[in-house]
Amino acid sequence: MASSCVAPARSQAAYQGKAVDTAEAVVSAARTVLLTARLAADGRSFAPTVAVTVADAESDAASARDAFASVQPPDGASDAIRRDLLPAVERAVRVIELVRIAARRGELDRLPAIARPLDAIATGLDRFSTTEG
Amino acid sequence: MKKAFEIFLGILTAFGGFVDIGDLVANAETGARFGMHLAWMVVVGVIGIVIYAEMSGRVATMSQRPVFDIIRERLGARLALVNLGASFFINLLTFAAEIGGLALVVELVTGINYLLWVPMLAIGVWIVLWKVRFSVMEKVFGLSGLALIVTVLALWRLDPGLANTFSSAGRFGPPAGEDWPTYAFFAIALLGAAMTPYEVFFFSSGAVEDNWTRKDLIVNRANVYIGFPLGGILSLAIMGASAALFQPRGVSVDHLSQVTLPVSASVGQVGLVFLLYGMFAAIFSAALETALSAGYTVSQFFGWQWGKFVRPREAARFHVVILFTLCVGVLIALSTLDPIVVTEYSIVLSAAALPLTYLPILIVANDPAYMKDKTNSKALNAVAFAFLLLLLVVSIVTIPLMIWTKAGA
Repeated sequence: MASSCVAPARSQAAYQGKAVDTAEAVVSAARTVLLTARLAADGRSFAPTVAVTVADAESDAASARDAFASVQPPDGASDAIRRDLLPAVERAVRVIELVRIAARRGELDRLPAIARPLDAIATGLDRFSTTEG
Repeated sequence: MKKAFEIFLGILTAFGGFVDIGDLVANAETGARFGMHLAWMVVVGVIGIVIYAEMSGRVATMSQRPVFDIIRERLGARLALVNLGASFFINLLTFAAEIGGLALVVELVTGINYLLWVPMLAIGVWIVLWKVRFSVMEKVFGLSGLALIVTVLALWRLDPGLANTFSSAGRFGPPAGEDWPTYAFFAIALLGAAMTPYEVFFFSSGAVEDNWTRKDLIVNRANVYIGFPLGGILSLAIMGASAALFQPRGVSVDHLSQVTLPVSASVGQVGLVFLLYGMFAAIFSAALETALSAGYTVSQFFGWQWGKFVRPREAARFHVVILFTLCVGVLIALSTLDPIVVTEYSIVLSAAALPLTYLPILIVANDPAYMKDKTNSKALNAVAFAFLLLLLVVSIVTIPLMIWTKAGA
């Protein structure tokens, strides 16, 4: 339900938990965008609805990224988790941004192609959640 | 024949008017996260609102007095004032959620930020409340909400035969990856979404607005016994469609925009038009009902003239309370607090506050001085008292669970 403020991570386990939550939030946003892009290209939705849905997903992914990036990794092992996770999350946010720009321009046919990298990113983040969770 | 038509129309109105922003959000979120593992709670909530609304409608009809007037008489002015404060606050929060939700629907249609729509929609709500007759307002928006039946079609197309839906609904307890406290918190959210106090204030005051007499008790029963359970099917369809589309993908529902995806995916653009229209009508109807309920509760408590059955100048204080509620609700919605978060808190707090109004109504429904020969039957009392126990437990555990689970985060 409501997302909460980010508390500091005092142990590697706590940091790992935040990393998994972040990965899950970004997977959710990425798959929402993939689904929306396909529906838009298939003519099953309307341009304003598509643009709002993608913008909402972008806001979720960006919030998750900002919240995780602001947490201080407590030790070396946490640094490794950060290195594994943050670049993928950044990539997802950038791709969603591009989808949102195209959606706002009404270029609905192009959305699946622009969103395509999200598939691999979401699969990778899913694997990360399973491994670290 | 006229009576039969009136009953039929009442059932359809109750059916179409059952769902509001709380139901849309809670059911879609729960479906995506828990599948149909919490479908039983929708059934419990529908039974609860049926009992609660039927008693309230009967109390108002038989006593020809509004519910909050009776609550004050039974509880005493001081205790009833606490009750009024809690009910008014939750009602206000619910109104803010409805007006925010309404603006989100318009944003989905236009692509223009919802904050720009909030004041205009509030003015629209006020004009309808000021100008349109109660019976017309109730029926037009209630019947328009029937467009949400498209969610049932969406569920059928996403899960033909409903095999997975029924299989998931048969399982009790949290699915893998979720814990019991969060499961319990979402169960309370679903109960609060189904049993919203404003529905009862509106329903019972509406009985007085519509001049119901003893002969109309059959309309009361038909509306709640048939209309509300049919409305509950819409809630289950929203949950099921969300579960079918989102749960296998690991997608959580945090926005109203995501609620449109199952219908887009399964029915396409025509279905989406029906869904957006139905959502607009259902949430607009709920915004009208919550604004009216604010006026009803305060005016009935203080013994002021109330209602739309008299001209506005004859119920000036009633309309001032409505206007005050609209203004504060708009300010809350414009504060940029996420309307979905406001909705989540409003439904959970609604569940926590339910005993405040449920208990006095249950007592009065058993009092022959008010009810004459229409007091509760033994069977109804058995279920009603079981619900009272459930609501008391819910009101005790809600806040601790909210803190423990970080509001289900």
